[in-house]
Amino acid sequence: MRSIAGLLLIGFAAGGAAAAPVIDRYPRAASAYVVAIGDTVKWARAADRPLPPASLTKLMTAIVLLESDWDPAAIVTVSPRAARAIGARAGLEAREQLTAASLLAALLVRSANDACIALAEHHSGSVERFVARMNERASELALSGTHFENPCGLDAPGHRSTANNLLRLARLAAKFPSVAALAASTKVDIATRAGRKLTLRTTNPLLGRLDGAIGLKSGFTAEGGRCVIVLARRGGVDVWVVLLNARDRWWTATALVEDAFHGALRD
Amino acid sequence: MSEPNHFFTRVVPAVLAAVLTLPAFTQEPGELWEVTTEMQAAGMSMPANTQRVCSPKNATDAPMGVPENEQCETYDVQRSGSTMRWKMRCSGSPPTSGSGEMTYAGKDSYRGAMQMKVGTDEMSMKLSGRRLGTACDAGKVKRHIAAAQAESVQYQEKFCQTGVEAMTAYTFTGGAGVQCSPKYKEQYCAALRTERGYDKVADFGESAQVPAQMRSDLGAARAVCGLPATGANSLEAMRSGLCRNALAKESLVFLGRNCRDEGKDLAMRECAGRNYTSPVAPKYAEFCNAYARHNALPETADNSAQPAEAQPADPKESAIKSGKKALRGLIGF
Repeated sequence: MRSIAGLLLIGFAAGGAAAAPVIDRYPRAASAYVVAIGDTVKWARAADRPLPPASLTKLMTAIVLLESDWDPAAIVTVSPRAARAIGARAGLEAREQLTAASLLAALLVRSANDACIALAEHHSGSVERFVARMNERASELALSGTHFENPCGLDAPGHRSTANNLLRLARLAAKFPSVAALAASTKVDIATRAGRKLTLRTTNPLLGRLDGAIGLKSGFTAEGGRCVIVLARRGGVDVWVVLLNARDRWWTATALVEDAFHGALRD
Repeated sequence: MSEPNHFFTRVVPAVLAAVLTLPAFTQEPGELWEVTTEMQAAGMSMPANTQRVCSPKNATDAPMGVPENEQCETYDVQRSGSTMRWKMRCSGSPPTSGSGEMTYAGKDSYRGAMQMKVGTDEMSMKLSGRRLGTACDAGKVKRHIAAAQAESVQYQEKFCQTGVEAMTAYTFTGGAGVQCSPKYKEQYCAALRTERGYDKVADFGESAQVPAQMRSDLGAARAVCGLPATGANSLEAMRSGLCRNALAKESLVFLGRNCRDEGKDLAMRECAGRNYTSPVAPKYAEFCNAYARHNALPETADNSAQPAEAQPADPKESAIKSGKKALRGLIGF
């Protein structure tokens, strides 16, 4: 009885349809994971455990940008701080100017931290104010397991989110056409205002390889490990997979997507 | 465009050798001058550089006694009143040429400028000098020049060694303006035949954003080492051999990154074919990640079971389309 109640509670917490229990079908797939078919969470593990979300953070960055007075044609000047950003980068140089749309592409396709900082500074005047807005938005969305210390997903004490919170963020982000288009792109060309051309290749190798994969975001840090949010669509049905700290995210995500489409759909 | 390093380690010492000695003579003793140069090259402005130069005392005479750099010479030197004009050229690769003008304000100071062309790149330099008058050893200038030249040679050696270590093909094509001795190219091509060397070059990707003379990808490596497009000595044959060897000795990361066909069976067994209720075996974790990242994912058994019927219009697909439409013109998909 207690275990049934527990399963029901997990189902409720996972934000699913509450009627179906959530099963931990893949107990060793990742430190935390969620698999949802459409609006219903089917399988999950430690889905409310706060963990470092790595660059999955950038989905909130995109949401904050796109929910504000977003002008994709606005010219953004890359600051020295942005140009010095560590980790994944688009290779932007201080004082280069690009459209906000180009930087959003670098943020979502290449997971570029230099673009991330440039956008945050452009939006709020400083990274710190932008992060405050991210946390404010997390509160508004009742993402109680989420707190941000930076806009890009770098490891930092207290920089945490949960698989369930990230699933909700991903669902919201994918509703923005710009995010949907960029997350589904394997390659995007952008140019600085001075004409320097950059080709951005996706960090998500499932695009174009896993049938129906149309997004959404990958992340990797030393503390957060290998993370990914996969959205795959077949026959009008969406399968979402969120993996936090998976030893092998691409194959595991592939297997979970396949299992969701071909196993669970038949249940 | 040549690398900025090239300007400042090879060309600049040669230019300074020619310019700073213009008011100088072979005679000793000398007296100190303070010389300031401001340079613009390769689209960059360098901060002003001030040096104290010991110039022989009778420096206001004609400058034909200039001890010239072995690669650079000044010629067509003309003096009209307090103004002196000259031309200079340097042999080597790329060839350098230029001209300059200098006006003396009495015997104690001068101002001038130089324009140079290094290969296809332009650089310009502003010069000014003032006599400090302190006695010094004029021979020091020559020693400085010799030291700069020696440093330049050391830099070239280091550049070539680094090129072998980093497997940068452009080091050996002259694209950076440095001619490495043949031994370095041989070392590079030998390293290409090893897992480490091949993997480094493969990791450069297509280098699509890099100017042709600066590319270091597999195509560039093939050109540098003169490998045929097909056959037993081709790059593909080399890769295939490395992959077979990697499979035999379980060099799994190399296999995952570079060996789509040779690693496929292992990927199907250890990455795709396993029971997903358990994680990938630790031994194969990096292989599976690398194979997924660098090669197409093999079909899983379930992939054949896709429904083939036409799907109704999907609002989320139209979101992707409308997103692309909104961003088109700002970025290229």
